[in-house]
Amino acid sequence: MVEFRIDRRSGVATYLQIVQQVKQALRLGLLAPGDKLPTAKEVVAATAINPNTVLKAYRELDREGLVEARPGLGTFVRRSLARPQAAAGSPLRAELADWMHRAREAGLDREDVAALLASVLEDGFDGPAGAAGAAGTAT
Amino acid sequence: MSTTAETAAETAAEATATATTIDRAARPPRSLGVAWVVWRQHRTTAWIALAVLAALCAELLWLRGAMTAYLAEHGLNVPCTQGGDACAAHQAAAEGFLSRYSGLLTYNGHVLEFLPLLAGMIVAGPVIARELESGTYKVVWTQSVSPLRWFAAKLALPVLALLAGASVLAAVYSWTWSSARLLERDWIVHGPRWYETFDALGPAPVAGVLAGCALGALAGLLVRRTLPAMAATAAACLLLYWPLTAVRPYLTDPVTETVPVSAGYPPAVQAGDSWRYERGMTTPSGGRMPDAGCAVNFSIQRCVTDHGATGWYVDYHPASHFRRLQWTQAGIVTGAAALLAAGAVRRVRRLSP
Amino acid sequence: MTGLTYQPERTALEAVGLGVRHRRRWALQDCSFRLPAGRVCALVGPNGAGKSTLLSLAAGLTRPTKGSLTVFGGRPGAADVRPRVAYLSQDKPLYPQFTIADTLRMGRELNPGRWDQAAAEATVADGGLSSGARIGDLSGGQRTRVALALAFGKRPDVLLLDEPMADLDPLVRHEMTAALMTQAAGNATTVVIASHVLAELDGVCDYLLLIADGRVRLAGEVEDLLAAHTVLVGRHEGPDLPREFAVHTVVEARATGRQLTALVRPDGPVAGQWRASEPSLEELLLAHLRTPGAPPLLAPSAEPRRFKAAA
Repeated sequence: MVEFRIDRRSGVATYLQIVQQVKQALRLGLLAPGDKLPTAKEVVAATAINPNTVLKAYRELDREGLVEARPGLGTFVRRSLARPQAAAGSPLRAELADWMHRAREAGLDREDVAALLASVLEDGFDGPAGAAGAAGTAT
Repeated sequence: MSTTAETAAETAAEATATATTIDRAARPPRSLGVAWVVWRQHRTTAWIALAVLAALCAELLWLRGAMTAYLAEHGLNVPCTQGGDACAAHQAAAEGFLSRYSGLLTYNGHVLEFLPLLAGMIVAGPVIARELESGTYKVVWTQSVSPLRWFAAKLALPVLALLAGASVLAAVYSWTWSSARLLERDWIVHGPRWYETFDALGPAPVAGVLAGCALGALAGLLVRRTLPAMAATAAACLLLYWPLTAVRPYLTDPVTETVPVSAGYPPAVQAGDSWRYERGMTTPSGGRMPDAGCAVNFSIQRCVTDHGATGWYVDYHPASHFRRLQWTQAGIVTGAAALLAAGAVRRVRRLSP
Repeated sequence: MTGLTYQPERTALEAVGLGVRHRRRWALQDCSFRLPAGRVCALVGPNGAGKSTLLSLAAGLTRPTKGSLTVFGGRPGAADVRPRVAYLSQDKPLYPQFTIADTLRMGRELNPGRWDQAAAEATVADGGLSSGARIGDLSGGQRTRVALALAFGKRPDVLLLDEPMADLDPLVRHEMTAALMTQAAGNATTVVIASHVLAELDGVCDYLLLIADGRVRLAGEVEDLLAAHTVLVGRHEGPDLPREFAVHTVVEARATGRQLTALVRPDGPVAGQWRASEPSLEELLLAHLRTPGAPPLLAPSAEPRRFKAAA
């Protein structure tokens, strides 16, 4: 079971916050296929947000094929987003950690690194290759 | 998908669960509707009123017992026939009776006379205006019952209780009073007579309470604030009481007695408990000249000669008119109550869409 | 795929040419709007804008001077409408001498065949209130909870709340909002919340009704209304508005030095060098409240159906 944290000042639409948090939970393996999502009533009781917002978020997740609603039972996870390539002991992660170490030695501070990462992220996922990657994620 | 269906299913399951627990537990008390709310609101007042009623009744019954015992003890139930010293003792005993009990009886009568005013103030203030002033009517009007039904129950319960209380009190008072009236057969003609304590006897206080309640309801709805509504009701009650007493002698045809001018002033009327409400002179033209027409410092004789009076007259109601007068007045007052109540109902309809 | 609690085709509230006059002053004037069923609607406006008047009309406590307001197609206060509407007025009047148990019993007595004692008791119990406590001894927030319990117990189809959270501390406000939303989720209740505290509405309401000076200024889904507006920031000098704004509806424009910030309803793409962003709910409301002359905007779902038929 996941618990949603709604930040009303973030500027991100509430339903998107729920979608993102479910996806995050799927990536981190907190939610696995077959798990039941909290009902709209449960979410609303905990977060005091509009139930239609919760339902809209679940509908969005359903459309992306991540969850499915079984009438009378609840909403269940269909598929995971957890990737072994990104897990704690994976080579990709080790490489990035190594890079981070070098960046610090080079005298970059936290904000410099964040800006650099954001810029590379932008370049890497904004081209045709990036779009293909995004589409791959959603299938 | 249907997350709604899912939540609905959950709700349905919950509902069945609660339904079964209710069935298993003690069955909920029978539904009384608005009546329960009205009772819960005014139950403290009701208990206090009941205690006061019981105390008044006990006091009146004690008074009756004391009076009949006194009359029996001093042989006042029969007229004095021996004459002389025996009759002087008889008269002294009668005067003792009057000084001891007549005041008490009169005060008890006043309680009944003010009952309509009191009832009106209760209905106007605590029952109606307080709801409007504090806004609690909004809670009731937005439940499932209509404002008119609420108003009906809100009035019916206190009014029925007040009518019942007034009836009991009036009956007990009339009974107690009638025991003192035994004196009237004798030459002792003092104390609260039927026309002096008219508004405390028979149906008068009951009809009066009804009208007071209707007036209070209307005033409460119009003024909408507790204390001003009570004050307005009291003022209106006193104002309406005036024309009612003024018109009372004419509710039924009086008996008129005339004597020639030579008979002297005033003409004697036989029955001791007759209500002589007007007397004066008859003029040659057949007109009437009430006593009040004579200037204060004039001698009677001068007044007679000035107006060329031909005789004296007196208008009165014998005690036999009592019931007819009582019921006519009760009818008029009940009619007024119906009019006021209709006005109150109209007002509720206007207040609620 | 369906699944939202609201039913876009069913109408909860509908006003056509609605006007209410208090003595000499018009509290509401020429109001026309529609609220689809199942929505959680924010009724926003400055003090004295007519919010309470509108709710009191819908609750069947006052009658319109002009025009009409219907609740589920019926006259408010009619025998078949009254049981479906629950109303919490601003001062939350309850009988002070009653205990909480008495108050809930009153709800049962006055709503025969409809009352949900369990829902009402749960709402009270969640606040840690004992049913023997007298209403007169409760704090403002506790009284609000009992008043809400009374409203929930009625299982209403429309719940009208006039400044419900004004006297609650943040924790209780969150709890009560959660309880309210749970009710709405469980029973597809249409909720109308009048408030001028914008923070208590964001994320809670999906529908918006903005009234000012007794007139409807904005009505519709919050998302649609936000999407219909754009905040434009750019460089501009001079007293007049930039020429490229002429084709759009400008709600509000404010100049600070050389910078111009404008909230507009764009009609097509905006020409020129302007940074565009979607306004927040608060920006949208404040801009409209500051500019009483801006033309009103009703989303298609908020246009009265009967009005169209009549026109």
